[in-house]
Amino acid sequence: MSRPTEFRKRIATSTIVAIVSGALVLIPLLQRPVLAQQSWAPPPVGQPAYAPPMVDAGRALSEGVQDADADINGTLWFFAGCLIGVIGIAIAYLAEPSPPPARLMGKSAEYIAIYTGAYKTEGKSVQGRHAIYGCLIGTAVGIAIYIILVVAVLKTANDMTTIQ
Amino acid sequence: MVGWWGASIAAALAAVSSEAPRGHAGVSLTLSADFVLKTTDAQGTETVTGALRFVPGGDVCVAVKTPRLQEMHLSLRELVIYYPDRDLALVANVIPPHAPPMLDALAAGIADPGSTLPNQSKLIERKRANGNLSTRWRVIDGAGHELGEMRSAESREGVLSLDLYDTAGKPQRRFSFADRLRVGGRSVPRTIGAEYFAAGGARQRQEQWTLTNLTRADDLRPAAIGCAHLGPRTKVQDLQW
Repeated sequence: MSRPTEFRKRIATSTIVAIVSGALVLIPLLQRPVLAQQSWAPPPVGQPAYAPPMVDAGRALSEGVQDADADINGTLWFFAGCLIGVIGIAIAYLAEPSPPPARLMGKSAEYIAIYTGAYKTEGKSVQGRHAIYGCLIGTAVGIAIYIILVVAVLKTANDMTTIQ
Repeated sequence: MVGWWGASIAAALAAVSSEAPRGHAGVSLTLSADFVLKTTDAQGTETVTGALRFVPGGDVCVAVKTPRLQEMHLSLRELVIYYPDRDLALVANVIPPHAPPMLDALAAGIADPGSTLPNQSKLIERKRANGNLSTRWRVIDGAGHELGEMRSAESREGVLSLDLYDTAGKPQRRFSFADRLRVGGRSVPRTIGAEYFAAGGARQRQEQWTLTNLTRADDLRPAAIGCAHLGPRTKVQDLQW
């Protein structure tokens, strides 16, 4: 009497295990064609995008800084600071450099905004720094010339006194 | 950016665009072409394709097709960058003494090199060799300050190369022009190379322009290519310039 009951239990258990295992194996396999239809490409032109376009802000920022560093003529601003002093420094910080438009071609609006901002900020900083160096060197040279002239005048006056 | 160069080349192009070439009385420069621009810098190489048009008066309209739809209108007082797919425009007002926005490599290939220099500049050398004319100019601004040197080589067809040097003799810009075609009485290069150097003289960036389907556009017809016409619903954002 107990043998058929045990046999039935084993059959029932095996059937449940087989159904669950089969389901676990088959469900992911059945999902694949559905997943394959999902597209991660940007929406076609004219269709709404549900998120702002991705922009590599870090790249735009670093390229703006690098290009400004390379483009700004430090020598020119050094001489501006050297020759016209504080006015040269003020002009260096007020004059905003602009990037060449060819560098904006084919770039997203977000990239352009970040790149242009970084270019201007770094450009003004480079201009100002060189103008300050120029101003300091110019002032130092001016003081040195002044000291040399004063010493020369005093020496001449001393010589004149000694002769008299 | 070589400040004086940006302003001078824009003014030179405006003058070229407004004046009539020999044998074409009353007709100003209007060109349209498809372009491929390859840019190589430390980040790698990027390719931009599209079409452009030179409009009388010095304006340039650009329609970028790849990698992103974009229209650019460059004029003496304004730069408009328009995204047709987003109906979004970035508008920058150019206030003097800012140099007008300009595609300097293209402008340099069309304008006469001498006309891009400040008035006080002096010719320091002029010689002919192998049918080509080589000139060297000392670039001097209106206040009498020396800005550097410009060297150019010209053949009968037009300018072959244009080099700009700073006061220390380090290269700043180097342009080369080849494969010229006469369009509307003007010689226009179809291959343009531009090299941009950093302050120490190291090459920072290289541009290679290739123009195809170069034609003289009908200047009576309104500019159709990429002139960033904004609609009433266009979102406009200010761009600092």
